[in-house]
Amino acid sequence: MGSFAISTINIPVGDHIVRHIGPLAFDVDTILSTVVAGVIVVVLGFVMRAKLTSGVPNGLQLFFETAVDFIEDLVESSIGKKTSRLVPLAFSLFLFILVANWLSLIPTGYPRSLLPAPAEDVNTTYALAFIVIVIVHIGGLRVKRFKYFNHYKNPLNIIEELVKPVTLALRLFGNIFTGGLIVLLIGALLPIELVPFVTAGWKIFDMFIGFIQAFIFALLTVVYYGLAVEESH
Amino acid sequence: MLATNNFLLPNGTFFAEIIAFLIVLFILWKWILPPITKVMNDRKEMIRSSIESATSQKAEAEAYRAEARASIEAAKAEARAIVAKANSVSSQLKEEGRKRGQDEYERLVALAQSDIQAAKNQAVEEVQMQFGQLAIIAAEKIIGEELDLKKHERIINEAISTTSRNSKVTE
Repeated sequence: MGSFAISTINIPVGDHIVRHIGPLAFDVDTILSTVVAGVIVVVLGFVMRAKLTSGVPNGLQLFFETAVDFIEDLVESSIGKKTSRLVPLAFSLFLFILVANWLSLIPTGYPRSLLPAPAEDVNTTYALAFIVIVIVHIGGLRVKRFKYFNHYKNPLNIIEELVKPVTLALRLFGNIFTGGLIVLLIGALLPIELVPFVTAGWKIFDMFIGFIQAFIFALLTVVYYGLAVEESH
Repeated sequence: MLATNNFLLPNGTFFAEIIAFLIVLFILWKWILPPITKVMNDRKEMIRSSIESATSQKAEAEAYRAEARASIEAAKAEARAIVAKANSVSSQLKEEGRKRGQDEYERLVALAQSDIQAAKNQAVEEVQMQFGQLAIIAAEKIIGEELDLKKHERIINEAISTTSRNSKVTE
């Protein structure tokens, strides 16, 4: 748990509220944020489902439809068919990461938020990247059977496959973590009267970053899957 | 414990996050996505079918219009034929009328001529008869005795026919 001093306050970096269960340490704040984000996603989903219509959709349904449509197009252009098990995964990743990222917009304490963006914790991003990479390799094996291992005759490809989940996880972590860090820096470095305005401005930009990162994560999931099931290399 | 001193290394939260996301994934997969995709497909199907029906209705309208145009053309042609027939009938009637008038005229003229001829013949006959009587009277005067019309009919007739032949020659 590193923390370093800038000006007169300590900025906690990667600092979490930790509880130990047996041999494992759990970051309680991250888990709480994840649960909140998950509940929001699920509740939005059911609210949307309750008012679902094939006529003119309301705003929420329109958002879901746009996202599904976009993911379907992405999947189609990557692996050639629209209806794939990849769609639910990419869609869930996008929606969950988006909501999780936007959680940090809610001011829940300074310097330590009660609800930090879950992706500010590497555990979240590693977990998501792990799920993605497992599904990608399973997909490759299902489609190509043993031919799938031909890909790894070149050791560079092994390195590439090992790097993929790490970059996938750390890209999301880095962007979102930095977003939180900048809020802390604004609070530490600027005169107190300016802090609310600059923070508000930054969070609007951070919303954009949160969206982009959710989008990139889902996109790369589809791309990696597409590469894994692709017939020729 | 996996690690607690480096924030880039995962700890037990990793497993909690996996479980949390898999739950979200499962719920979205099972209960949220199928109705959305169904509704989207329904809408696409609806749009597709309404476009299709609009296209077929357009074709139908086009066919009706062509039919109407053909009917109008046929009616026009028929009207032209009727007018042409009326014209020919009228000229035929006119011709017939003219011909009948001409015939009537010729008949009347011929009738008048035959009447005239008859009147002339009658007049000639009358004249001849009177001439015959005159001749008898004159002959009586000359011969001094009465001629019996019955007795001398042959002689008189001969005289008349000679006279009428002579008169015809002089005509």
